Amino acid sequence: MTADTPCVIGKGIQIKGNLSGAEDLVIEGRVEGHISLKNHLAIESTGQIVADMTTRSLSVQGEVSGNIEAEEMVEIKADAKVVADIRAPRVIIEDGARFKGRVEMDVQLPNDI
Amino acid sequence: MTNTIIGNTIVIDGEINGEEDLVIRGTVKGKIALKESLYVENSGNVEADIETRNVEVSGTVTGNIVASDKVEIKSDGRMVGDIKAPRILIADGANFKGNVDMGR
Repeated sequence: MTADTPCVIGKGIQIKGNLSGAEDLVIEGRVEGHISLKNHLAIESTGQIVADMTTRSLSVQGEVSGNIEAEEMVEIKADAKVVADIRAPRVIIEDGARFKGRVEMDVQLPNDI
Repeated sequence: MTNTIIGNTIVIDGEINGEEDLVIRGTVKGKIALKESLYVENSGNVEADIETRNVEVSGTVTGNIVASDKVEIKSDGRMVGDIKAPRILIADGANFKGNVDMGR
């Protein structure tokens, strides 16, 4: 195992609580709580997320329920099941994906802060 | 089976449950319950109660460990807490403070 292996939460792992970090993360297991990541988050087809997420970019193939806020983009792939409100400059929903929620692409900061 | 790796910059505050090996290079606070092995690597920092089959500590662990098979504190491991396991190994150079219970 080298130091640059991506951080993976495997199929057999469940995490309850807060997860934060500054590297790419792949989730194949189950996470409940809150995720805050400075890099890319990938949720594989076996992944199950019940969490609010703040990340730079996100791609979903698994199941997600919670709110998503991304700095760059959110990609919901064909096999994904997502129930969420999404806030990101770029949001991509592929053909076949199931999605329920609000999409907000204009992330503009209010003038008074 | 893919190994789960909690990378250097990752911080988890909460509970981890699982049925596969777990490698920790980052920080975990809370509770860890596994059916397989836990590896706390050099950069790993765990402040948690741990219940698992095997534990290998090369990083820092604060908390109690209950293992059904083996606990190994490597030469660069640092641990504060109680250990309960049938087999307990502490390597030369390791730092350890706590109780050891081999259950026999």
